[in-house]
Amino acid sequence: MTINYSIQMFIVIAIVGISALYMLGKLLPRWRKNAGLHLQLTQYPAWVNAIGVKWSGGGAGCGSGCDTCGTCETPKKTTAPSTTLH
Amino acid sequence: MSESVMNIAVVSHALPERIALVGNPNCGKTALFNQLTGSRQKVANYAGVTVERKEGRCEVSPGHVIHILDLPGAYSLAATSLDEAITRDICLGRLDGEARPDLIVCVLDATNLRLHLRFALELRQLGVPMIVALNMVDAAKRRGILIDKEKLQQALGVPVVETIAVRRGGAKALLEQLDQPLPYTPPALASDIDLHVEVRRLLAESVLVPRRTAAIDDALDRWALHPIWGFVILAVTMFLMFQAVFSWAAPLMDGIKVAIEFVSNSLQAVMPEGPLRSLLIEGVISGAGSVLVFLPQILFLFLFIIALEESGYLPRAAFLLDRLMVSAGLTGRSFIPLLSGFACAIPGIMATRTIQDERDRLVTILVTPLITCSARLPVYALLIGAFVPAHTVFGVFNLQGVVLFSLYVAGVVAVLLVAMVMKLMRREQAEHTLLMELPSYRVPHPRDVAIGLWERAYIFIRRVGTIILSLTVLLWFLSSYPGAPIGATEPAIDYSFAGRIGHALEYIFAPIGFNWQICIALVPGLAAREVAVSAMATVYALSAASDSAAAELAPIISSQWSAATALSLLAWYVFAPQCLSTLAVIRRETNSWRTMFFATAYLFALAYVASFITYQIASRLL
Repeated sequence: MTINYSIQMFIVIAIVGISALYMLGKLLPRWRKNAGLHLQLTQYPAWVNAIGVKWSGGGAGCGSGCDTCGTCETPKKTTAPSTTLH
Repeated sequence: MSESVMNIAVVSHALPERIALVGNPNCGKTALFNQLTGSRQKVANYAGVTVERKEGRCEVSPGHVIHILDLPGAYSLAATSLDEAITRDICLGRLDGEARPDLIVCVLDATNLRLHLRFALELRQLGVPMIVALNMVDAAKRRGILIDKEKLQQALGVPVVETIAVRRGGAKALLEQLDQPLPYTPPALASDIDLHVEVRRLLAESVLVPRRTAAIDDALDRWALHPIWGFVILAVTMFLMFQAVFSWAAPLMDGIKVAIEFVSNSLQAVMPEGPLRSLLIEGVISGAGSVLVFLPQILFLFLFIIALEESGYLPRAAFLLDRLMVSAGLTGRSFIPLLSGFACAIPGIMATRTIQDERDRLVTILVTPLITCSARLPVYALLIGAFVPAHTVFGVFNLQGVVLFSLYVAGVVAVLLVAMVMKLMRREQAEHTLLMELPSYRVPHPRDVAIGLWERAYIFIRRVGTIILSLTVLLWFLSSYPGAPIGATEPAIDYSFAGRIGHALEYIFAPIGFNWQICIALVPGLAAREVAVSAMATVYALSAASDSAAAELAPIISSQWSAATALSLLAWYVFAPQCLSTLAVIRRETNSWRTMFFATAYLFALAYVASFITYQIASRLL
């Protein structure tokens, strides 16, 4: 195995790993949020905490795996009775 | 001030910090929100575009920042649908975790005050400081509507400012007003007052409406809403749209192809052999690049959709199709969700919140995934480009455009047929009248069209750069490892994880004509439909004997697949729920796993049966 091949292999593993993590975060938003909260623990360095903050933030598309429609806010169930004011 | 008004004015010196934009649907709240916050929320010339609250910030003067809520349009505080309930509850301060706004900006369409003033009077009863934003004053002036702002302000008892939300700087007067201390709490009307009578009084005092205000609208509507010509105009408009998608986009697509080929050849020249080179050329460039090529077609499709939305034609189309929709078991209110489904099923399903009847809403949710979303366009375009010759039919029409139009029609027909079957299964057969405001026609504003196109381009490129790229990388990995054993006779991909999965799935999909390469593409295609194209590009690139053979996907599949297989795959994509996000949104919006599994099962069953019939017939005929 040449040095060139080893370097290429190292970069490929990194890219594949990042892609796998990204898709896990997309498809499993609850896991992503929990992982994000875990990474924010003080025992980790600041850059890991920063990733944690990003991960625990609003899940992709209200937990749907999609965040492209611009309407992805979790609806709040309204239970209040309707009111007639006139 | 009127005798019917009781004075309960309260003086305040506080500056507004949290305001809510409230008003009837389609009065320009979201356009105003975009002006104030610099946001780019979707606007259109029909009711029901905003179904949730949106929040933004605006610095009206140095150090004075206000939070702005854009609420769904409502005709009354007596809410009849979920989106109207959100508006009502926020205005009343009843929504958990949501502070009551300290100022309501009631947005009124100046061209339609007869309808909009009634809600303004209702809002005034809440006892919250209020400003009236008289929007679209330019359109009102053009039609000869004269509004005496001072008299209206006096009669309403709240400050009135003029705005033109779609024009740069059109919210200046509102911004100046927002930088003033909170206005007096508006005086409440007597409890027994008839709001319609009060509206008539306000109009008589402060508004002069010429008799032939809507003459142009009426003239256009005589054709657009005609029981026969209306349908002809609708069909011709849609047909031309799909013709243009294929004909106009071709040169731009060729340009992107050349750029991708250049990058691929350059990388081949400079990079030594190895896994990274394979990942970049056969994975990233072949895969994600093959999807990026379809950007011009998507933009041309949305150019038409946005222009139609802006013009005010779409509610007319809803009106025309109402009888057809009701006879198929849908409601006229289903039109806007189904229309949104052409972009993406997710906002379409969310837009069903405007449907009051729970059963109607459920049927609309279940059929919305059948509408051809923009993510299917790359798959359709690839297969049409590979198997349908670019011939001209009847001297003017592009055959590829005709086939694309037919596929979109197939989606609509499927919606109507499935809704019809569900109607037969329903015990309760309630029918709900469609009450829909027909907005005035207007020339699409170039800024809104440009924003809409930019949004679509951004969304598409971001999808290519995130989900599609990630899945393509993962698929490349699964298609490359483990490598072929020593002495292997088949291509290396046959021995890979993906190759084995594809061969295993082939047993299920062989009766509908799918080979193992298609089977591989179907799996990542569940995450995003366009990934099927990038997945096939990667699989065929890795299977190819040489790099040049992997350059373009269309010639490869046209030489390796039968026409029956291509038609079968097209039929599959018309019906199959190839999108996990859509299923997740169905689960969320219905709060029911059962409904989601039902939707998944019936869509897959429909897709399999349609593909089976298509393949069996086509393989005998072609």
